[in-house]
Amino acid sequence: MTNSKFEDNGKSYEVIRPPKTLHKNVKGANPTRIDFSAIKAAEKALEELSKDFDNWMDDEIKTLIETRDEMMREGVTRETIRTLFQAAHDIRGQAATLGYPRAGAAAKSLCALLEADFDITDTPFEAIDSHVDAIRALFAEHGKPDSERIAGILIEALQQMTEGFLAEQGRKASNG
Amino acid sequence: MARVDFQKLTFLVVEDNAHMRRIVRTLLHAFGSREVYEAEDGAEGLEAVEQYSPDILITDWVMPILDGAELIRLIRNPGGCQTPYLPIIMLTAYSEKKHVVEARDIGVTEFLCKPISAKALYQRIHNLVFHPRPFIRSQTYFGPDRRRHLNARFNGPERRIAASTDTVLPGEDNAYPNLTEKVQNVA
Repeated sequence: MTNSKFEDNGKSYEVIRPPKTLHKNVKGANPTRIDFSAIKAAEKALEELSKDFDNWMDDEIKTLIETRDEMMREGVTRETIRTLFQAAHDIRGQAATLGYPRAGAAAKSLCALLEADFDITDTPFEAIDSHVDAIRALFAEHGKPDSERIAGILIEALQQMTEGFLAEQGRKASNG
Repeated sequence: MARVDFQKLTFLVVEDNAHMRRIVRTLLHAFGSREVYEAEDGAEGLEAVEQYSPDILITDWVMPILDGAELIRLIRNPGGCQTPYLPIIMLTAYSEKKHVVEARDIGVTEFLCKPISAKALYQRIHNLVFHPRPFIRSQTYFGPDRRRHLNARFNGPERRIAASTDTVLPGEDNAYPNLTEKVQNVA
């Protein structure tokens, strides 16, 4: 471990160099090259795992619908929003890997709606409900004829809904 | 080209979603790693860091109980954690600039946006292993040096070089032999 202390415009800081140890745990290492055989092996392993992806996506959609139903029963509260946001955020992160990028795009719009920088309990349930129904439909209709075109239109409508709501909230906030 | 073997690298994956944990574990095993520990939230992750001392931590951001950002703040607290220099990959669905900046400012070493790919994860690990960065401690920041790139257009004085009292302790590796050259060129 080596340390160096510096002054910059009257502010002091320290540069610390921890011992370099990770490379010692790697065999056959060539620091200047990426090992594409390792990447190919990982892609192949992921492809084998992908047999389960439809079921996994189905699980994620069920969780989202359950949290939406809970919100329907208990109202738009901080707690129900937090739970629904986590479900939507999981879909946002995973959907493309699981083969459903359009559902992921719709989930991203839902996350933006639920994560806005104002009193989030003002978020209209109808907008949330529309997003959840759309995500379910994008999953169910994936791969069917004309589904890509319809998905594009649907996602654009969801994004406009979210952007319109956020803009309206922003105007309200700036007007005090 | 010789196969790079990550067999002896140990990983901790902190992720609340079981499917995503399975995907990351599958990729790491395919890279050769045999020791992949898992935790379901930040609190469990912090315990696992202390228990297993992994070489690399891969953490999600949004998690219940203690999220990834809070976990990293605790790890990068030099007085609070035994491994403040732990290399950390933030693996998250967040892709907005404000989140990337926040991740950088809390001490994330590498940022990786979902959807995950084998190539992107491999590249982040490769960076951690072969291109580690020094750490900076100031009044407001502790974490990997946030200056990744050289700025060839910088013409100002090199205050860091002028003030340097750098020494390398006998018998220890110098992880950053080219740091002086780098510092001379950064803005």
